[in-house]
Amino acid sequence: MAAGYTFEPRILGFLCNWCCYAGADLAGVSRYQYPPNIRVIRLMCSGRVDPAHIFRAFSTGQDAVFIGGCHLNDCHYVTHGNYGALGMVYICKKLLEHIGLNPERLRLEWVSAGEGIRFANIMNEFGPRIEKLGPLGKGEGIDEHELKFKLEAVTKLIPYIKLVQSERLRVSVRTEEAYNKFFTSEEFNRLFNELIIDKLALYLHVSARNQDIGTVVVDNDKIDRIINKHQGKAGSLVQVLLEIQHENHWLPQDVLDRISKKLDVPLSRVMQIVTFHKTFSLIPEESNE
Amino acid sequence: MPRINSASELEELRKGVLSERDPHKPCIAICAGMGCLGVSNGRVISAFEEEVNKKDLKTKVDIRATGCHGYCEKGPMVVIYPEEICYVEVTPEDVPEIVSQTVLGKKVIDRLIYTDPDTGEKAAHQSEIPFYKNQMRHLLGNNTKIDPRSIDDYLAVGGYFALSKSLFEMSPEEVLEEIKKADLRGRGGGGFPAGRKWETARNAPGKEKYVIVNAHEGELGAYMDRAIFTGNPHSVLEGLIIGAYAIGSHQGFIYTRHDSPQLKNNIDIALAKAEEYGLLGENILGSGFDFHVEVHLDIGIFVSGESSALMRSIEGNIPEPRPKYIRTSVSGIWGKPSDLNNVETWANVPLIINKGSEWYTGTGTERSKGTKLVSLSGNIVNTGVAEVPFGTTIREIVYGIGGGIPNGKKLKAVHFGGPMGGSIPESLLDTPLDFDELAKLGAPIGAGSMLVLDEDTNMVDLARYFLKFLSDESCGKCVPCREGIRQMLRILANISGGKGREGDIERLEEISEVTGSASLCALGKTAADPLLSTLRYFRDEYEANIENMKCLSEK
Repeated sequence: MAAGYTFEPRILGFLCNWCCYAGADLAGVSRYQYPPNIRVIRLMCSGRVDPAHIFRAFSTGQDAVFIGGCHLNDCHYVTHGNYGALGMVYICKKLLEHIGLNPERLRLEWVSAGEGIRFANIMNEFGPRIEKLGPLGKGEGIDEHELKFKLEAVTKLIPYIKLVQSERLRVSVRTEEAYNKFFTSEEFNRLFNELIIDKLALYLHVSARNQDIGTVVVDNDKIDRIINKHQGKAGSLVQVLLEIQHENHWLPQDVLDRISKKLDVPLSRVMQIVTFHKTFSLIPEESNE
Repeated sequence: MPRINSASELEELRKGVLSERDPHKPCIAICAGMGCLGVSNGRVISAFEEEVNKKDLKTKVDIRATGCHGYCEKGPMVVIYPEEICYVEVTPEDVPEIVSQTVLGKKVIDRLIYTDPDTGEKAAHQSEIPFYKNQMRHLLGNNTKIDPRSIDDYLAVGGYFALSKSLFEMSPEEVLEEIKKADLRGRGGGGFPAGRKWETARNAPGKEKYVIVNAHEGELGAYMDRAIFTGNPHSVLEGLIIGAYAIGSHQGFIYTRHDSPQLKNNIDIALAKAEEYGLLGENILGSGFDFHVEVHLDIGIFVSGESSALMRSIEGNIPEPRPKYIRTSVSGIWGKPSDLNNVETWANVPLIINKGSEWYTGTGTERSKGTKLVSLSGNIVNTGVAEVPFGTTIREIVYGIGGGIPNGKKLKAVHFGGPMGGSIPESLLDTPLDFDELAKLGAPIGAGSMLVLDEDTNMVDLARYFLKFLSDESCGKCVPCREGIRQMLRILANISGGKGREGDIERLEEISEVTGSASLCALGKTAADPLLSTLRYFRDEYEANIENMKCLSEK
């Protein structure tokens, strides 16, 4: 390793208030030693961890995410949130795998308030494990740019994934066996591929293109010229948009902001028009319109 | 060019233009309308220019790229003046021969003139060709004589005389009265009397009023507005200014679509020229009347042709219709009285003022006066734009002008008015062209597109095609239209896809009734019209479709 630099993994922990957080507290009070890589966020229940939180963490450069909850059937709420967390983690691991990240970077464990030693043991094992995997992306050999748009694509798809989860990927029996059985079954694989992977492929495609073209700086002077040509009247909004669409073949967000400001038209109205007509495109098109 | 400041100056200018023109000087008029542009007439035009330059005839021969001549089937068309020899389907290779033989040698080239496909008879002049012979071309007639980009050409055929007549010899009330007497009805589809609309706008409270040209023309198979507006933009503009004078408006809009750049171009030139001549802008012709026009270029989805949607669009909103408890002629753009008329309606106005309402009412039927432009398409020999007086029977239009059905097929039906119109069967072909007669038959004239269908047409598929179009074009604001069309489409798809069930037809009728009475705008209200009219005349086809499938499944 290069002199002076050692890789210190950054781990974000989401710990449930009633069990795992108390367990971690106990580990501290009892002076058990474990690597100081984890930063903790306390939640009322592990079930409150949203896929968006996990991918946000990865997007901001965390190398791993740890979720700690109560043992199954020990949840402090009637909702049994930790079962929710279990299903969610299965899906997220699958997503991570799909975009080329090691699913081990996401870990879910059950730690009760009395198991301080267990928490320390897990951390002693998890920290070095991540250290071995290397920094996020680099360890897997994905380049930084690529990683960014892949995470972005998944983040955009999350509301849809949650919908699919609640509609099609539900386990009716609340036992660990039933969950493990379902999430490792062929049926789950098939549904996952059909409902999520296809859509994700499309998002990845669009996101990749946005990255490429988005770097092209939009010529503000040109846009101002078009706006001025139409005397900056509110009624000429459509004409301004049309002309820019013709020139640029799509309408980037900052252009819309600029039009809204210059013509003194609320952005909501600009968006209303742009999304109403099929002529306008909010993503770069490959062909000419 | 200095401004014209009075009626007499305008007449002097006209005299000047005319005196410069030698009526015996040869002129080559080449159609540069939409249809002919599609068949590479650009090359024909440049070939003529080249040839004339090569032979050093630039001062002796005029070349004029005109608007649509109407006979799109035989394009590109070329008319040689002063003999008015008409050549059809001209190619760039024919050009040297035309210049040397006809323009200089005054000889007719036999192989280029029109030959009747049935009789083999030849016609050297436009007026002898059956397609033109049976028309009455009040509005389109000037198209061959005018370069749309030249205001002088329009002045030479008596343009803007009606404007100066209205401004100096008539009061706004008199102009309005004249239009009312002429019984001019809106050509855009509804057939609402234009005079009454003007009067409503005129009497509506408020100082600011607007007049609008609806050059949207979204109807499938309709292209007559384009023909007249692209070919003779000044005639529409003149009508608009006269209308504004009668209504008391000082601001006009021209609403057109972004996908017809040629039209936009010609309008822009016409507006600039008219302003330069003092026919538009402040103090028109020195009369003290001010009028400005703005061109509004829009996306133009189908529903934007609807008056309230169009006005919202001009305001800079999305083209969604609003309920019209209050007419747009009372509360339109920005809540101000706004009079909206179709291109063709405006083009009729100078004609009425020039020749008087008595002359105008001389043609047409009891309730529909004047002439109507129709665009012929579908299974017909002569595709194109024709102008006929009201009262002409459909048979005359299809066979006399249209040349009948190609390939010896029989005619099955004629469909009027595009996706919101209706069809009439062969048996009713002797119905006269008339707003009310056709509406009674469930096939309102619409904007005037005539789709001719031969015996091979499946009427269920036709209705389905139109409904599919409307379901794509519905703006989605009101539920009856959005969902009603979709459900009707589903049932129709079932019927034509072989999954029709008994009771489907009744269900269609029920849904169409609800959609028709509950929708906000004309799009939804008339969405089921093609369906209902085909059900009315071709119900057996629907039944056969369902029946057949039942037999098949029972086997």
